This record gives sequence, structure tokens and C-alpha cells, in this order.
Amino acid sequence: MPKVNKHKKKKSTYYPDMCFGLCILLIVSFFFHGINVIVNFYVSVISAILFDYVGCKIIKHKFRVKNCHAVFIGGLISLMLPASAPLWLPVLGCAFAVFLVKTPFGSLNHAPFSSVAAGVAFLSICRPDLVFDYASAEFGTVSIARSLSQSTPVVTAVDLINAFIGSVPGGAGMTCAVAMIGLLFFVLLRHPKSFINSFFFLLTCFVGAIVLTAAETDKFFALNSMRIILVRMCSGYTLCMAVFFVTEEPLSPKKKGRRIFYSVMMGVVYIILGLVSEFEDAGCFAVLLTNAFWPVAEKYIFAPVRSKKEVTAVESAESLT
Amino acid sequence: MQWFFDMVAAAIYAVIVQNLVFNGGYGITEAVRMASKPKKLFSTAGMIIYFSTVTAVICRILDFLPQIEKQNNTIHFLIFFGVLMIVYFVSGALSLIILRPNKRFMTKLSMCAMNTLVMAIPLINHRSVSTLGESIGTAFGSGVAFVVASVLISVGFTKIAHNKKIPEPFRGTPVMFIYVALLSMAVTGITGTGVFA
Amino acid sequence: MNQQKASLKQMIHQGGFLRNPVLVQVIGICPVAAAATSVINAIALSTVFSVSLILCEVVASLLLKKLPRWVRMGIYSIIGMAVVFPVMYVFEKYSLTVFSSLGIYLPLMVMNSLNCVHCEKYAVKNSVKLSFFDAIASLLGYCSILLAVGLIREVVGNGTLLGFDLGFDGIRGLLMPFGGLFIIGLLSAAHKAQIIRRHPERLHEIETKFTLDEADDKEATLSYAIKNRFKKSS
Repeated sequence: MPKVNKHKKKKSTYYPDMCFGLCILLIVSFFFHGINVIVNFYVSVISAILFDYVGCKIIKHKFRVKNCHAVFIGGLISLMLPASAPLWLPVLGCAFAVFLVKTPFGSLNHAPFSSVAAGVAFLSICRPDLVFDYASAEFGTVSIARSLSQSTPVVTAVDLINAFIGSVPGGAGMTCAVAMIGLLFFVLLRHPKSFINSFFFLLTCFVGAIVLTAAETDKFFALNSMRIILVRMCSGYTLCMAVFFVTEEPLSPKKKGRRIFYSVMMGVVYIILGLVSEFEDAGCFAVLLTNAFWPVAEKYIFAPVRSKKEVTAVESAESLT
Repeated sequence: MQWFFDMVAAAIYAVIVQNLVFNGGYGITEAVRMASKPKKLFSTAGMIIYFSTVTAVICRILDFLPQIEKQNNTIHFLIFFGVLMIVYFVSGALSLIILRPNKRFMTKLSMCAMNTLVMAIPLINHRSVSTLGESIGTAFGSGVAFVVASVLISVGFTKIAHNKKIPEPFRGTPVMFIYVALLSMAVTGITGTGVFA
Repeated sequence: MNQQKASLKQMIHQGGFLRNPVLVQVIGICPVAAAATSVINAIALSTVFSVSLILCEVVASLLLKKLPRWVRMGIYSIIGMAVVFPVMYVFEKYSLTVFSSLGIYLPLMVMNSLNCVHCEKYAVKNSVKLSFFDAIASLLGYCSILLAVGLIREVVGNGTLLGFDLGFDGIRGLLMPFGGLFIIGLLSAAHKAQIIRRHPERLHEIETKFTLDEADDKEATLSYAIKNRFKKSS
């Protein structure tokens, strides 16, 4: 009779679940943007899988498609780009994400930066004209992509219902707030611990939106102010970051307190970048900067606390003996 | 009072927005070297801040002289270089007289003075036609930005060093370069693509 | 004669390939990462570097052995300046395009750590001939990387080669300093893979040592110097 290892590590379902979420976004974006999105999505996913395979062959690691990481990279990159993006754009993003962020660090659990965020950030630097090509007949050159920091008159021009259902300019899969909120509930059901990240990230953004709105309009609790705050929350990469980036398992800390700190940190960086960055939406840079600064925060904020606790534990143990 | 606000604003800008180490690659060799010795980081950074600030201030004051102001870039650079050399040799001589330090301290002093970051600041101040307050702020802020860059690289290295899954060809220097490149790319989100000359 | 040839060959293999200044020793990264954005720039930088390093090593080996290290370090920069200044002057007068595309990186080459490290580690301890060979070996390694990075960035990043349009839009991100660092990282990985394949027994030689002195440099800190001073006076 074969021995059963009781302590066998449970396989994470995080990336497969996120890929399921991407499929929902794909359907919604097909409804708004047509067949172009589906073509971009499939080309991007196939190229990401191919690059991952080549990368694994180069570094002589076992290629695993079942963990769905490559699908996640390809799918999310294509959905973060506008529907009008040329085919080579997501392919370039995937090549960067796989060959320069995932492969050199060995495996998906050890990369210090989010591959997708790095891919989109690279594209944003190389071709901002294509990545933020959000002009539409309805809004002209006005974009609500710069969600939290967009000046109030621009946000006022956006209809809240349109912002909810996704009939606004933006990344192909990023505009439909209803779908994103549905995915947040999906995260809550499937990965309740990860939902802590989403919740505190959104809470930080919400506070940021209130402060920014109050700074521009004197009224805090007026109905119009609330509408502006909601539009701010629904636009840009805000909800996408809450669902896909802040929850990303290999990068997110495991303990509750650290999760909260990490999420708040990402939210704060996102708000600040929204104000100072020259990019239309600097969400990906916010993810990268949080990834960069998190080890520093962990070392200088959490590690001293832990070592202090350990010292007191040792002292109390010594006093008992 | 205006010069004080200029100085603080320029310092904040240099630390947060225009991190010269990541965005211009200035002093990146030293930052990487320091990252492998985090305990000596603040001492080195102190020396870099000292040289960059003193040199930047003297150079900017000289820049206001009409005879120097009308010269071309090459002559300006020659003057700035001369100032740095004088500051370096005077500082070296003074520390020898006052502190009587050992050879290693003097080596460190020279490595900090002979640094692209230190020499870049007077040139940047000259190009951007900064006020005296802004020049001091930029010089001090750039030194602090050097500390930030070194700490980020250092902590990242520690994390990477524990990663046993890194493929053999990437282990060590190659993955360090890629890590620094990713940090630099992340910082571009704040700076934008315009500030790297 | 044969022995000398063999030693030059060995030095080029050791200094240029095995312990490449950029890929292994992590020296002189700033110009490679930031300024080598085209072949022309890379050639201009390589030329200035070559003259500067050869001159520095020869002078250090001939004249500077008896001076204290901290004085020597200043003199290396002055020698670098003696090379860079005329070049800058000529570029500013006759080739403003190259002058402006190199930006402030051309003057910053006087502060190149390659000069300091090679002169201190090699030139002041060896004869003029060996120092000259060391300079040639390091320059071959350094300039080859400079040219490779310049070529890759011009073709892939700008979509041109020696100024001629290749008919596609480049990946502009590669022209920024982080693009240069990515390319150096990939070249460094390729270099290490070659060493693993061809000289696996010499892999330990390419482990990077970042200090001029191999010993712990605790004594190099200001606090140590001040404490020591007080001890002496008391």
C-alpha cells in the first residue's frame, strides 16, 4: 500500500482563481470593446506561456503550466492595456515580465517584484502614447484613468452609472466597477486572508479620495462630493489593484498586521504617485515601489519588534527557571 | 527666508523625486559596493554628503561671478573640478592633522570624494541655474538619496541571498544588476522619463 | 619573449574576460548604464577611457608608488582631467551633437572608479610594462561591454544603427539608465554561463570583492577615527 504523506503541502489555488476572475473581465470587456480584446488576450496569454516555457528551458527548471502564473501574466497585461493596443504591445510586456522579472529569480514564489506590474510599467515608460490611449468619442481626450488625483471638474464630467458599468475610457478590462466588485466578493469567498489586503487598500484609497475631494470642494458630505468620491474609487487601476496586485500571494506578507501595513502602504504610494507622476495611471509603479520598500519596512519596523518580543520571551522563560 | 524654503524644497525633490543614483546612474558603483556593507553605509554617506554639499556651495558661489558665468561648459567643468580637488586635498590634510586617522579612513575619504555623484551635483546645479539655497538642498538631498538607494539595494540583496532557486548563471552579480534595474524602473514612476540627463 | 606573450594573453583572458571590470568587478557602471546609448557615444567614451586608463597606470607605476594612497587617488583624477578636458573642448567646438548627447557623463569620466581601482590594485605594485598590459586587458574587457551595450541600445532601443534608421520604432525604455542595467545584467548572466561551461574550476574567481582592502573596513569610519584620536591624546 503506498504511503500517504499527511504533511503534503497544499497547492495554492490563488493563480487559477485569479485566472477565473480574468475570464470574467474578458467577457465584460468583450461586451464593451469587441473582438479586439479577445484577440489581444489570447495572443498575450499564449506568448506568456511560450516565454515561460523558453525561460524554464534556459534555466533548466521544470515548466509548470498548471500553476497558471503565465496565464495570469499574459491575461492581466492584455486587460490592463486599452482595447486599441497593437498586438505586439502585450507580447512585449509579457516578454519583459517573464524574461527579466520571473526567470532570473528562479520561480514565481521568489521574484521580489510583481511580474505583471513590471511588465505594464515597462510598457508605460516605452510607449505611454499606446498604453494610455484612452481617447473616446464621448470623452474626447479627457481620461478618468488618473483616478484618485484627477481634478474635480474632470471627475464631475463622468456619469456614475457609466463608471459603474464600465462605459468609460480606460484599460480594456479595468473599467467595469461592477465586475471588479463581484471579483472582490470572489476573493472574499476563496481567499479570505487576501481579502484583508483588498479591504485595507480600498479603505486607504477611500480616505485619500475623501481628502482630495474635500481639498478641492469645501463640502464634505454633500451628495455631489460622495458621487465624486465614488467615481474616483471606480476609475483607473484602483479596483484592479485591490483584486489582483495587493492580494498577490507570493509577494504579500502572511501575518495579519503586516498584511494591513502592506496594503495601506500600497494605497498611500498609489495616491502620492497619482498626484506627482507624469503617467496617466501610475498604479503599476505603486506596486513596484511597494515591493521595493516592503523589505525595508519589514526589516526596520517589524524585525525590531519581533526581536524585542523574543528577548522578553527568553527573559520570562529564564525567570521561570 | 526664501533661500531656506528653496533649500528644503530642493532637498525633498532630490530625495523623493530625482534620485540621482537610480535615475541618472550617478554613484551607482559606490551604492552597490556600500550595499554589501550596510554597517558602514552611514559613515560613507556622511562623507559623500560633506563633499557634495561643500563643493556644490563653493561652485555655485563662483558661478555667480560674472567672469566665470560667461565661460562655456568646458571651462565651468574645469573650475568645478578644481574646486573639488581643493576641497578634497584640504579636507584630507585637515583630517590628517586633526584626527591622525589610519590609511583605511583616508582611502574611504578618497573613494567618497572621487565619486561621480559628488562631481555631478555642481554640474546639474549649473545646468538648472539653481539658486544658492537650491544648490545646497540638491547636494544634501542627493547624499540622502544615496543612502536611500543603498539601503534599498542592501535589503534587497539580503533577501535575494536567501533565495536558493536563483539559477546558477544569474546568481550573484547578474541578479544584482537586474534587481537594481527594477528598482530604478520603479523610481521612474515618480520621476518620469524626463529627468535623467 | 614567448613567456611575455603568454603572460599578456593570460592577463587579457584574466582581466578582460574572467574578471571583466563591468560584469564581474562592478566598476565604472555609471557611463555604461547611463551614457552608452549609441555606438558613437560608446566609441567616444571608450577612446577617452583608453587614453585615460593607460596614462594613469603608466604614471602610477612610474612616479606615484611612494606617495600615500589618498594623494594618489587625487592625482588619478587630475590625470583623467588632463585627458578629458581637451576632448571636451574639441567636442564642444566641433561636434556639438556628440557633446550634448553625452551630457554631463563625459566630464564625469574623470571620476571613473576604473582608474582608481586598477591603479591601486595593480599599477602601484608592479612594473610599467605589466601595468600597461593590465590597462590593455581591462580596457579590452571594459570597452567591449561599453560597445556591446551601446550597440544593443541603439538598435533595440532607438531603432537605428550608426544613425541610420532601421525602419522600426525602438523600445525607448532601454535608453534610460535602468535599460542599461538590464542589458548589463543579461550580459553578466551570459558571461557567467560561459564560465560555468568552459572554466567551471575557475568559477570562484569571479565572486565579486567590493573592497580595495580585503580586510574589514571598520577602521575606515569617522567614528573609529575620532575614538582613536581621543585614545591617543589621553
